[in-house]
Amino acid sequence: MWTLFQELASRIAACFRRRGLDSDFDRELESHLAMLEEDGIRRGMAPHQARRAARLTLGGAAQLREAHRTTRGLPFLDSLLQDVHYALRSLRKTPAFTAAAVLTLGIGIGANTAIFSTIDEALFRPLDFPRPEQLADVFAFNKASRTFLSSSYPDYEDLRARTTTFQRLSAFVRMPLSVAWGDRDERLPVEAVTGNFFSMLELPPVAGRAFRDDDDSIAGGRVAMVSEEIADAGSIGGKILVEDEPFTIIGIVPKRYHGTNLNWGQPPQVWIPLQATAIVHPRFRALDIFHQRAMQWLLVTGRLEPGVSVARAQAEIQTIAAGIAQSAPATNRDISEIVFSASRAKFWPAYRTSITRSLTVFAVAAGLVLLLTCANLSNLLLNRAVGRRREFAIRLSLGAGRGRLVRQLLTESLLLALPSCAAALAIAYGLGGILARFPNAWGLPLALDGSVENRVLCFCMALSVATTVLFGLAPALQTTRIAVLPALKESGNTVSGGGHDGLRNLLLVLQVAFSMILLVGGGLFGRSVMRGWSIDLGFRTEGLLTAGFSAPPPGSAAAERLRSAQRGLIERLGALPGVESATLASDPPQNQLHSRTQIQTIDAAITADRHSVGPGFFHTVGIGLLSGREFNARDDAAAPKVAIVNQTLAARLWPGANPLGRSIAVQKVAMQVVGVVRDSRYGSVWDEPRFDLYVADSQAGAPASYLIVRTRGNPAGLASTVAKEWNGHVPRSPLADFRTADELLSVALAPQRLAAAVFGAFGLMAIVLASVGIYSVMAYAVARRTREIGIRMAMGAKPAMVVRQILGRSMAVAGAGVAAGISISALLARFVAPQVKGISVYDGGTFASVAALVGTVAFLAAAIPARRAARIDPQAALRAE
Amino acid sequence: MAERRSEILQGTLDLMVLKTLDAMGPLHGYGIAKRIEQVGREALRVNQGTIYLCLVRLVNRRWISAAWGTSENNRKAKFYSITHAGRKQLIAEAANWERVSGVIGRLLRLESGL
Repeated sequence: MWTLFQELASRIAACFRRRGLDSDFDRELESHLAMLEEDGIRRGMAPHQARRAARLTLGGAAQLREAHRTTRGLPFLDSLLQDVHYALRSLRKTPAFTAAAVLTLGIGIGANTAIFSTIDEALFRPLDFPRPEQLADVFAFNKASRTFLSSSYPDYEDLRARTTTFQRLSAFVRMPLSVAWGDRDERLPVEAVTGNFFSMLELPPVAGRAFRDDDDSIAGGRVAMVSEEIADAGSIGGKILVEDEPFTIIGIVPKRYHGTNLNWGQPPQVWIPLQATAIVHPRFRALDIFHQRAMQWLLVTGRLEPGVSVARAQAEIQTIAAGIAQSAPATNRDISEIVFSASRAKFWPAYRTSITRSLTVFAVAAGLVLLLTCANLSNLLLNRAVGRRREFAIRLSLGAGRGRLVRQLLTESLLLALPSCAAALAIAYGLGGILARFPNAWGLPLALDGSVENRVLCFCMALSVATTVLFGLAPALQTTRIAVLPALKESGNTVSGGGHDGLRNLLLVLQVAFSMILLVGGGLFGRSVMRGWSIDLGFRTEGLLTAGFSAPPPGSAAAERLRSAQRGLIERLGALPGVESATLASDPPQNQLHSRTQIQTIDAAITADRHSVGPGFFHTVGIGLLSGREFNARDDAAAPKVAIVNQTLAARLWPGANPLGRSIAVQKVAMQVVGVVRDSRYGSVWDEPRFDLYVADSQAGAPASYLIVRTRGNPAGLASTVAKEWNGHVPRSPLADFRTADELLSVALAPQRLAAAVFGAFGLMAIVLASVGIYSVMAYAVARRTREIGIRMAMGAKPAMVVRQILGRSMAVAGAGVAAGISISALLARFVAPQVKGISVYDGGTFASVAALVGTVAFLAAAIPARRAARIDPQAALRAE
Repeated sequence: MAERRSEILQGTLDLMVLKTLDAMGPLHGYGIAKRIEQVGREALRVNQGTIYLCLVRLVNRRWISAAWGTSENNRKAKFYSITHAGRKQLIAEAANWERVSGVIGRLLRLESGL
């Protein structure tokens, strides 16, 4: 056994020292022959006789050398190494080709890898818990409005009590709360969870213990768990203040837990029992939130019994929901429940479609780039192989098998795969990082880390190898199928193209078409972004600065303290140098989340977007006041409740009549309309005018949590001055996240900007590749037919005619590509329609300008070889043979 | 038939080379070939080149080692010598050969006896 191993090792080693061993053996044979000869002469032979006899005795040197190689090495490895060696040499001889091939492949595969990685992370990667397939989320679903909802506590209790398909069913809610402990005092994402939450996830704490059912009660509720990221075992038993209420730390949650839901941005850091929300949120107690079916605030997640499918759980949960709907029709008449596998429902179900759709669009773009890369690679390899026809013919005539030549060409392709894969990974890493960090890339705050993990690595390598082999094979098969004699007779430039032309033209048409599709995509998204920037928003973004602060839970003493501190503070901020005015609002511009509310008048009931705003809001933001007045300092909690409506809401509620002084009921609270303002796209740049209801911040239940400042000049420069003034007066609610309105607008436009950038970049790359393709094919055609063109010109053909012929072929190819591109784009357009905002996806201007661009580029690419053809000197061309 | 006779088994040649090196000490390829021819006395005609295939095989198995040196006629030649592992192999193979040739001999005698 050991001997066998040693022999194998020696044989493998021999393959790598081929040249040295060959010459060593030659010397050995030489000395053997010399000794034989000497012996012969000693025995009386004539020198020439002796030499002949010596050669006969030893045997044929060439065969011997070959046999020696086979015996000492591994014939298979030997020829493979020979192929690799030869391939490396020939790739090194053509650095331009090699670089082009590696780069195109790298970009094509890298783009796909990045997109695949993001899709994988967002949609497919299982959650990091034991047996993740058993975890399922239960969402309430309003059948009438077809929207997903959170669940109420009584609904959760009923589901939990009646289900038999779930082993454990938990509920939780995420909210930012102020957490103070040791010398830390900050706003952290806190999850309030039922007592069985961690045992349901089967997520043991790294230290201490997890919540139990008896922790989850008002009496036993003052315990908390903290993430490993901010605490360690030493913190157990310590006190932590959540909204100024003391809790005891009992366990440390491993930091790999990022929550089960991706669309909340930051992962949670502190956990409290669900019932403890009543301790930290006085309003929850006042609302009696644990007994109200109308209050939908919980997410429900559970672990299925082993072997139970999601479908079976769905059937059971639906029956339970129907039962609840029957016993509590007032609140639950339209409510059903839908069960999702938790690994699939990593974000709010309503978002899934939009995320899937935008990821699909990117996947299609990346797929196109890959196809284009393949077409380009195929063309490059074909060009290269055609250029080497003579070499192949010589090798074939010297006895090389066709299989061996194909193997040689495939080795070359495979050698390209390796550096391409490395380039692809680098590109994927960069692009993945950009995708993950691009704010609001998917129109939602998704918490993705954009890491490239093993599965993605395998995907990338498989893709590289498959692409190079597949697209290396066609040219390899085609070029080795040559008749030896004609090819040998060929001298450089009289080769007849044969069957390659058709394949090449097809590849060019495809390349042009793909670039066309990508550029149309880039154009549509680009115009969408431009539209977003130029649209009349109904308020003035320039000079507007916003910052958020954490508002304590409404009704708490801290909330009252903040409110009284703010009164004078806003005026002082407005008087700062460079500041025109300041105000408060419940949401910043382009927040895109709408807080909806019910409005009732004597004869109508509608749902509108509700904004609570401070005095001077409309003046500060620049929304025009059409009639009536703004809120002012006198509209406080004690004063009669007042409201302001936008013109669309006014027209809907009181068509043709004066809205001022009218009464409305907002969630059963009577208010008087004191003003009408212009419609605006304050909430979202793409929104058509909506029903907007503004209530006075000081009269609203929930206090505002955004400061909005109108500045003269550069708003970002004032951030520190404003922060200093504010933080000096309300240190417990420091200002954070300063943004100008223009920044917020650009974040709101991020999905379109990203898509425009990706499609635009891919499209430009595609058109460059396509034009290089056109150029090289035409240049090759001209070079090949120099003699023919020379003869024709000698016979009286005009240069213009020659030019026309060359350009004609290129423009036919480009035209076919553009036509194909336009039709495919038109077919695909409706799939991007939801993302392309503000313009039609069949925007004629975009299609026409892209077609013109592609046509021009193709024309220019063909013009250079055409000019060269026109300049052919007939005499020189004929003499060159 | 003459060609058939000279077609010696690979293993047999290995054994002969090992034995030769064991008995004679370091030798070059030509010396080994000559020695085997002498002992075989025309009954065993080896194509001298094949000896090198056998030598490289034995070197790969670490049973013999090779080094360049100078021959008795002051000529550069590669000298082979048996290694410790080669001796062990020789002893094992020789015993094996004795056994097998004994069996074959008996078998042949038995057949001719019928």
